[in-house]
Amino acid sequence: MTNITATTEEPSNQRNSDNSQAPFSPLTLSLSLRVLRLRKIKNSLAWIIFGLFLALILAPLLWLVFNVVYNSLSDWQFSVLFTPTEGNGGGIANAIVGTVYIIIGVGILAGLVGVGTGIYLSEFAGSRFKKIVGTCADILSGVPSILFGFVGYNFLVLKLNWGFSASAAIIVLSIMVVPYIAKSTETALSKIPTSYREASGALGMNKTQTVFKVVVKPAIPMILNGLIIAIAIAIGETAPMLYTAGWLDGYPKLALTHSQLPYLTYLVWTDYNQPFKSAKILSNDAAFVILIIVGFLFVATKVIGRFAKTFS
Amino acid sequence: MRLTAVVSPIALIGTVIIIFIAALPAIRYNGLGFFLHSAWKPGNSYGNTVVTNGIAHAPGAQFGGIFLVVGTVLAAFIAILLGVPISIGAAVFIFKKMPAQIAGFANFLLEILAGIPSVIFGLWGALALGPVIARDISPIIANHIPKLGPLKFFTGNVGSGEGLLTSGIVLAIMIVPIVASTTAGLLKQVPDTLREGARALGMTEYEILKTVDLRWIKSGIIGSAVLGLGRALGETMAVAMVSGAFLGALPTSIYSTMTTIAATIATQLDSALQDSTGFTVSVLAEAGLVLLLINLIVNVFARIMIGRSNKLQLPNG
Repeated sequence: MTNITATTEEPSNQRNSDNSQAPFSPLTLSLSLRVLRLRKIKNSLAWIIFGLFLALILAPLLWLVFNVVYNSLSDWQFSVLFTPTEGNGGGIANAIVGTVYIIIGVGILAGLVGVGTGIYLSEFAGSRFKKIVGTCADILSGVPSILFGFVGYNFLVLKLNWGFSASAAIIVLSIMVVPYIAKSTETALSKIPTSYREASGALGMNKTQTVFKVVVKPAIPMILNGLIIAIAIAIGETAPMLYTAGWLDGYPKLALTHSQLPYLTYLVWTDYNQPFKSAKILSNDAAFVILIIVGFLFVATKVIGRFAKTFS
Repeated sequence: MRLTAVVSPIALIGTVIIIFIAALPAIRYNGLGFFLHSAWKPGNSYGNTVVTNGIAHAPGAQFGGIFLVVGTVLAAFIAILLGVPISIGAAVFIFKKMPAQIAGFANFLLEILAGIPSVIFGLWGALALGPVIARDISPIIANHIPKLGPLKFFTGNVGSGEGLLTSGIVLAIMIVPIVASTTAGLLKQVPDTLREGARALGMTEYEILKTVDLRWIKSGIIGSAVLGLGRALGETMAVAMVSGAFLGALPTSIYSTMTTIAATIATQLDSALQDSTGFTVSVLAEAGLVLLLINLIVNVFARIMIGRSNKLQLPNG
């Protein structure tokens, strides 16, 4: 708009034009058309660049997945899935079992604490309590995971003398993902319409009955999704586990303390730059199996999401 | 249930206290000098323990952590510089130009990107991306930039692909889901009437985006960028695998090997345990305390910018 006004004010423009009062002389019209064309070109250029940006994001993702899959499959043997690690070779069966321990442990511990926190904050807590806990959880979710690992090592492994153990690893991982589960539970419950709560109250249910029989029930798929994503994050973690879980070449024992726990991400981290081919194979295979598990969990959340009730 | 709700506050306070107590000997021995020079000399672990000011340490122990702080901040800064514009552009493209179904699929891919474990980013960065950067990208930059003043930082030996640039690029990709998903979520909240008004004034779509959409969600984007910064500052495994984990000196160019606080804690705790006085572990705790403080400040700032929205935040890997 400013360009048009600017050109009409030019004296040369007024001389050429028969009627100086007319806003659109042939010259100004061609000028403004040129400006418009420039603006259109700028517009197209911007969108092309944005499209390229999207490609710049998706290309590494595809490259990464392809790389992991290709590296693993080019030396793939099914026996690695059934053989425990032996030094620089063997298989990854023990690490898979250890990772399943983590899935179960974090699922139970972080699930109880996280969902409990979410339900309490959403349904029972006063606004001040909610604000304090919510802020703490937000900050906690920003703490780098390696620091949880360091604290777990200092406090659980050394101070409480649990040694490298499944329980130390599970507690540290749980503390890491509890804020996420709590927040996703809270979000899921906030989507349940108030009319549900009112109707339940009108039917004579007390607060506890209302929450657990009426409010939580339709939110279960979304709560479950939050928990599954938290588990996917937990089993992909390495930093907090290095000095809490330890490592074991054999299968993990069913003991809570003083029993080292093998896990998949450890193999990726320690074996990727070992000079032995057998070790590199373990690293690649472990990465591949983690991707499959995490991918499976993500797809599971999409399937569960289909069952979730939507409220308008 | 109230019990479960207090777990997070207790864990937060406990984390701060435990790291602080562990760091105390190092804070008292190193003093402010820790932030003034670069050195990583755990000392002779077979020598007789020396006691200075009541703090036991191995003979010859000398630590200066400025290289850790600089490495952490520089890598995160590169990540923000590359990652934030790309994330915003991609999110805008998904939101404005893609049909709903393809947009849903693109968002799903972004979620997957957020779910990929950091150790796998590290594996890919070390085996695939790093070598490509050293072979195809770094030489182009290094050979075409004049050796003038601060630009010298971009010239010199391009190395093997492990280093500051690769770390920054890997971190940039890792923060993309945070910024992109926040931007996409915020774009949905921009009132359509504003866009219609701008359209009626004859603006092109790009002009509408610039003057209406992005201005409307500016503080949210800044908040998510700062959250991404927090993530980049605290990222451990990926950086440990692509940075070269080089201790004791500042990076001399954008290609030189380096390390960050988080990566150093992960890579050095094992050997620090060899120090029977426990002093090296305490130094790691001091570095961790610095990281924790930086992260707390960054996160509180981000929360203020975003407000306590209902946005879900993944834990910091």
